[in-house]
Amino acid sequence: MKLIKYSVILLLPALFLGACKKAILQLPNPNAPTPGASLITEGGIDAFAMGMYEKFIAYEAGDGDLNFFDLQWLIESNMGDENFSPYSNYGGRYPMNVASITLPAPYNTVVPNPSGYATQLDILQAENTRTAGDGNAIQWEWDVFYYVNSQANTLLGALNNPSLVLSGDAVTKKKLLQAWAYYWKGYCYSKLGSMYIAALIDDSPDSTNLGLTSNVYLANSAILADANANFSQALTLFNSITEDADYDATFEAIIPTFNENTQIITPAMWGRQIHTFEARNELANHKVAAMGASDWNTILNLADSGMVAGDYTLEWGMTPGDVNDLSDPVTLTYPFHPYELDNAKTALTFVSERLIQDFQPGDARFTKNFGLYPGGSIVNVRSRGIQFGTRYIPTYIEDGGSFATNEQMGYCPIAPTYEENALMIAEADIYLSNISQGLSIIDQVRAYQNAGLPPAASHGLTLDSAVAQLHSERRIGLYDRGVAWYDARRWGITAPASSGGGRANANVLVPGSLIGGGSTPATILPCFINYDFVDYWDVPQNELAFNPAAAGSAPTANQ
Amino acid sequence: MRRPLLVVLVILFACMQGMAQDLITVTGKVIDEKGAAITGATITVKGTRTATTSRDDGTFTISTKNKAKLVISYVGYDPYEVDAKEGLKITLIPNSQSLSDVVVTGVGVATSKKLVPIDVATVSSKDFAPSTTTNVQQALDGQIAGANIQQTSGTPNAPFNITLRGINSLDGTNPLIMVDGVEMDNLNNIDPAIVDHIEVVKGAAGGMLYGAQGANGVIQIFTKKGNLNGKLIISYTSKVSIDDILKHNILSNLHHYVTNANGDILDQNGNPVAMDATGQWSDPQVPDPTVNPNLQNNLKFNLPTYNHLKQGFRQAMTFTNSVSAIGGTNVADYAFTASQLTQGDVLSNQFSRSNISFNIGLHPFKGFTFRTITQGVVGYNDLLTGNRFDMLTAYPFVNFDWKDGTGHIPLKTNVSSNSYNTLSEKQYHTNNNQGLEIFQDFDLDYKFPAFVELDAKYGFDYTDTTKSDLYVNQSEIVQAGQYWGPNEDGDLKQTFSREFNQNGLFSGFLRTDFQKDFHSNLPIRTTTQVAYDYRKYNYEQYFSEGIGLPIYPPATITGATTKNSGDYYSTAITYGWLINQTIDYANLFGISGGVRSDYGSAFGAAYKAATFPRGTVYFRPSELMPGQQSWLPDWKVRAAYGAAGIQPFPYDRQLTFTSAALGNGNSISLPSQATNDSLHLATNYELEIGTDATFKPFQGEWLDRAVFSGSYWHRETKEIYQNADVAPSTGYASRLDNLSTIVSHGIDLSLDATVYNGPKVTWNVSARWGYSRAIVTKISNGQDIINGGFAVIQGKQIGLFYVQTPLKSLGQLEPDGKTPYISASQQSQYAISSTGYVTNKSTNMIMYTAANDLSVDGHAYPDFISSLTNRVTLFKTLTVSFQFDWIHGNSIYNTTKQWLYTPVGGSGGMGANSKDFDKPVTIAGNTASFVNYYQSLYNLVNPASPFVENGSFIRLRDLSLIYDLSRFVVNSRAIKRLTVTATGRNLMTWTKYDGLDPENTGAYGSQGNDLSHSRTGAFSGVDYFGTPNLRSYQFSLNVGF
Repeated sequence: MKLIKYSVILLLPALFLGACKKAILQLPNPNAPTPGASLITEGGIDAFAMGMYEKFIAYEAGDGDLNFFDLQWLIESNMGDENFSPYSNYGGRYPMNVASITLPAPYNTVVPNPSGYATQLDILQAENTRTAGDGNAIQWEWDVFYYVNSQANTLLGALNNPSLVLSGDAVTKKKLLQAWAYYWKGYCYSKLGSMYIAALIDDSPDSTNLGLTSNVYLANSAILADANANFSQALTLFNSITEDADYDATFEAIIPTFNENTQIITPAMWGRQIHTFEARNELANHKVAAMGASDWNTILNLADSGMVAGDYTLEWGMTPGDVNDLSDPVTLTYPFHPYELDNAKTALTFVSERLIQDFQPGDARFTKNFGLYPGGSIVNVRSRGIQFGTRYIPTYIEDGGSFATNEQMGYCPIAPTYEENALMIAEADIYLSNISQGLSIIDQVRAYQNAGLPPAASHGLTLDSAVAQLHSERRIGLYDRGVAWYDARRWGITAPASSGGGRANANVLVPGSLIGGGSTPATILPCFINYDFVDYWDVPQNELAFNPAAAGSAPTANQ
Repeated sequence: MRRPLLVVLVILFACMQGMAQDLITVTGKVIDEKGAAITGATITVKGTRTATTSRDDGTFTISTKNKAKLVISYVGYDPYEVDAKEGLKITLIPNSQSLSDVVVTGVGVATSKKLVPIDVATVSSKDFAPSTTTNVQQALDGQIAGANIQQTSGTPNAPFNITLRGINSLDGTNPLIMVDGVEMDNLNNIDPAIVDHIEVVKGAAGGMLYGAQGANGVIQIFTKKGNLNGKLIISYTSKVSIDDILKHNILSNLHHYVTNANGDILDQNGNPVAMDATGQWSDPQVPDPTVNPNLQNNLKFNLPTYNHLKQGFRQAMTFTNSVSAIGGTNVADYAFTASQLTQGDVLSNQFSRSNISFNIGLHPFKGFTFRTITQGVVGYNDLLTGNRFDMLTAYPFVNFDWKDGTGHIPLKTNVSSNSYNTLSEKQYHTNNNQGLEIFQDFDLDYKFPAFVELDAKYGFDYTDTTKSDLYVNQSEIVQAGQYWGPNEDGDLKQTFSREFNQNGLFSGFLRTDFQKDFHSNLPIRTTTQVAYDYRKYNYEQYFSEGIGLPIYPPATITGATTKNSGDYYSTAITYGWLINQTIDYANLFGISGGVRSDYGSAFGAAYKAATFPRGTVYFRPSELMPGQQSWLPDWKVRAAYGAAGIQPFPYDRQLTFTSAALGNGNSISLPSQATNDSLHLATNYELEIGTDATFKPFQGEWLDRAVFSGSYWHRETKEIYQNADVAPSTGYASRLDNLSTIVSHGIDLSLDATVYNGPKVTWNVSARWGYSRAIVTKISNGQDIINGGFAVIQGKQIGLFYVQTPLKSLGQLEPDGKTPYISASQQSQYAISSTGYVTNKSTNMIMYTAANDLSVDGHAYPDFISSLTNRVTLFKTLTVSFQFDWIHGNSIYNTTKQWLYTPVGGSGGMGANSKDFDKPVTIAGNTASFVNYYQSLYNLVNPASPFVENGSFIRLRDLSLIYDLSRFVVNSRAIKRLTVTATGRNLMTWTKYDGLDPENTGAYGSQGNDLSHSRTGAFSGVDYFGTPNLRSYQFSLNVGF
């Protein structure tokens, strides 16, 4: 008994002696790689380069992870009136707050925006507060491109780490990775400079260390100049390497498999795409009405060395079940891919009647890609504005269409394409009075997309008719490719009606109650839409609150 | 730790004839209820300083004057008073109340409540509200002064919000949960039937003993134990409860859709709305409010309408059965309990939990105790969360119970909306959750013959959870393309998680008694406590998922066309030392002081300790007031100061990248929420000053006893960590950092009184009242924290609603202080409505202040929390008790109502269906239910003052009738005791709040996003389409064998 007694008593303290060394507190996070260990290996640096895509997704307080890239895509598409989203999730509908819609005779009714905000700028500024949380639609584009920019900055810094060892053709690999980073910086600044009234340049080499950011806001033209400067850096690097097996291996390692990573973009294709991107930046940020011959020649010069048929570009696809892709509805709140938002299940976005009316009669792309909405038309969703109505839905890719899916199929180009480049040349040609040359390029694009339309070039069209063909083709041929908003802005459509803006004969599905009473069915009528959108957005408050503009900054808000 | 349930104090004494006639020598013996000697009991001659203590064998000798009174006292036992007469012989009756007068939590050693220098609330299982059925939180609700223990949902097993004392952090307020001295993770899983009593320490002044985890307070549960040589007592309890959600009508009865001459509601094609064969209704038209500003919500439905709350929330039943056996032998005590709970959910399916527990104490040799406490919990539920949003916003003419030709409830209720009928979900979705929890506590305790006690505890809390979430293949259902879950072709996800938390605690106590041990005259007792505490938390989770299941059963991941899996691991360790010194001078006063030092893997870069000081003092004036003891037998004043910590999550301080699989490859990226390698603990410093007193105002039947306790507390929490927003151009959305300070103070009061104690009637009253206020004195770089409708503003109270307000005067100015919102020339177009808002006379729309012109309108946290319990026993057989809870001064943000103001019309489903739309409003002399007026209040669901409502309420929490039928079984040999109980819970609520249930609130953004884990404010107080609490009627039977 005594033996038990004393051994028990002696053992008590011994139980704990092993558990009081500080060494046991060193418990590295087993779930996540560290900056020190991951970026000095080739696999790690390739994974970090692929991380450019992962930065499309970011954390939003309360929402969890969202695909910010998809949100900005949705919102620009909404403003471009090719798709619409009538819901206020993530503020999606506010940028589509058209000022008024005037019904045609005999009604002539002016339908103001039901939100109570006279203009888009009013509603965007009302929502541009931190209180509005995820209702602030203008934050997504700002955030996502600064997040990607920081990833690119950190990649550039890591590539200069002498501890990094690359196998094989190390020079080509390193240059490809550097060019990849500069390309994305160019991409980010292009998007920011084409959307915000002012923005920041942040090239700090290591974003793992917080606080390195500028507080001097530069006017968007300066941001675009920096976008082109980054593109030039990338171009120089691409010009100094050639495609080889190591190039291909690295390329495939930095592009996700669901984004067509075996369609190798060669250094020459990169070079042509960069020129197309530079041409887009030039075109997108100049009003057509104010462009002269020299402006068009600038576009032409860039586009002439731009993309050609067969050039690959960056795509965004999905995996079956959205497993390990950028759209996973399990970890993200919604399925986040432009093509998944348009289906009748998610029903977050719808195709605009104004897109449908821009099809030329007989265009095979219409019959292939669009059909009637199942169960009937969508009309004035929740009384949020009669622009939010349509009779159509994109045909699912699994059923032979191109722009919507219920089964995670299809690829959406997220960088310039051959068609965009060709149509820039066509537009320049038309405005430089080479109308038939321009129209023949439009015909080439239509043939490339199997439109099945008769040639436009042979008709000897007037400038206005040629421009109409061009507008139609840019709307249809570049549908859902991220340029519809730029076009609406530069063509003057979104300017206030008082300044000559707006769209006449715009198809609107008008509710019966506005045209003779409740027993009248909702009807398509050619209306006048006064969009009255601001050209460049204010800087989001979630930046300004923490990074106030320093003296000498460009204006950060529209007056 | 002494844990007897009963005390028998027997004094045997003999009187000896002294030399002087008025001096006698009294000898006696002090024993406990098992007949064992009590060493060290104090025997005092009342009103003098003459005292002695009992010897090892419990005997004592003391000289005193004849006819003096002796007071015998010992920690943990009620003092007893006896006349020191010659020749007297007494056997004392045990006092069953005494045990709750000993506390451990926050003081480390078993201490009589009379000598405890901090505020420790004790709730005995006898005091639990009889309607306590499912968990311990229900029992604590309303029992602890100042503590806000709120059941926020009627869903079975839903967690509670527990705020013991004000708001202390931006992260959460959950206290440390301990069971018999060892940390346990899940308070929800504890069977109320095994609880003997609960001790609650509300803040750092007591929580300092628990160091890095003590700042939010401690709830310690003591489970039932047997008694040495105790008789075997078997008891059985069975309860049945009928549960309904708290509901009243919040939806409009009228409408404003376009109708034809017959009053038929017309769709977009001009036809009366109708349902197709798949169950989808066409969407009604609404006159465009922009061109029909005088539109009124005044039409009656001419087709059947359905009460969706009634269709969605059914009546549910809850069953509880519990059996326990308690007893002991000469070397062991034991208690065994088994319980089974089956709780139906008002929305769907059910929750069940089986608990089994053993508490065995072995006493093999003198001074040595080995105790093992085992709890096994098996939980199961197949609950579905459902969607109350769609339930409340569906058109009223949709019949949720309608079934299509295949016998199924359809998913989509109308053509263009993506809202579904919630009741259709369970046809295609099953969710099976099983959990096993084993909580084991070993305790070795040895009291040396003198001075020293060693105690070692080791406990683990092992939880194993399996979740199986199945959405069957829905590709062939009637409504093509519609489906529940992430994929039309079905999805099966199995998640396994395992949690293994360990807690080791080694304590050494050195006790001295100057009189006994050193033969000093000083009545000084000292206790030195040295402790080492080790905690390790382990968590791992795996999931596997199969997407694309065969159309035929069974669904397996093996048979899925696409497979997915993942894992997650987390480990954290803390350990720390504690030294605490207590010195008591008789029962008059005492001081203590101590220090605790903690190391942790999650803070201080894993090598820097967090150190917390502590000090307490108490003084009992009643010891010096012999003349007044008849009405004030006990009075103590006390003060305590302590610091304790709040820990960040395991890997918060480590700089890592985000790793993700993308396609067949991997990506590494910067995280969007930056971590911080210099993160340290948030530390709470608390000063608590209080008093405890027992009054005996009247001798006799009326008001013969009242116990009062009151505390004032002041706290400062520094270096609170938060996910502080940063400029996105840095590449991050936020950074975790120690940035903020919250200062709070409050008063907690409690009173327990026997109002009447007669031979036939007893009437006891308990009242609790707590006031608190917390001010944020410093926040991240001075930048307001904005999160949904909440704001944390430097220098202001926490939990503010920060909102836009309708203009209330025609000349109201913009934030610049000079520009009027409405220019002078325009003001004639506006009028003040009957609701006091500036309204446009032609559009009937109100006007809000600008988005950058926000003001504070109410706060989420109440000014005071109180409860009142009355318990009346008639003829010793029938007990009637009722408990009222009164929460006052808080506001609720009614987001549910704001969503019901959303404009309706066209495609996209229902809106504008708050019952407010039926109410007329007067604008410029016209009185009608103007649709535009209400829709203009909607404000794009941005925070707005019309939706901040008074959240105060008084709730009849519990009303019970307990009837003791034991006298009818007096001749039975088997049945010793028989009681039946009828109880109602949440029967009545008095409130101005307009939503379904003022307790059904949480931390939500305008879109229903849960903000509670965003670490930007531990907010509650938003009503967002939740499941309200339940109104329950219960019947129970309790049999003792």
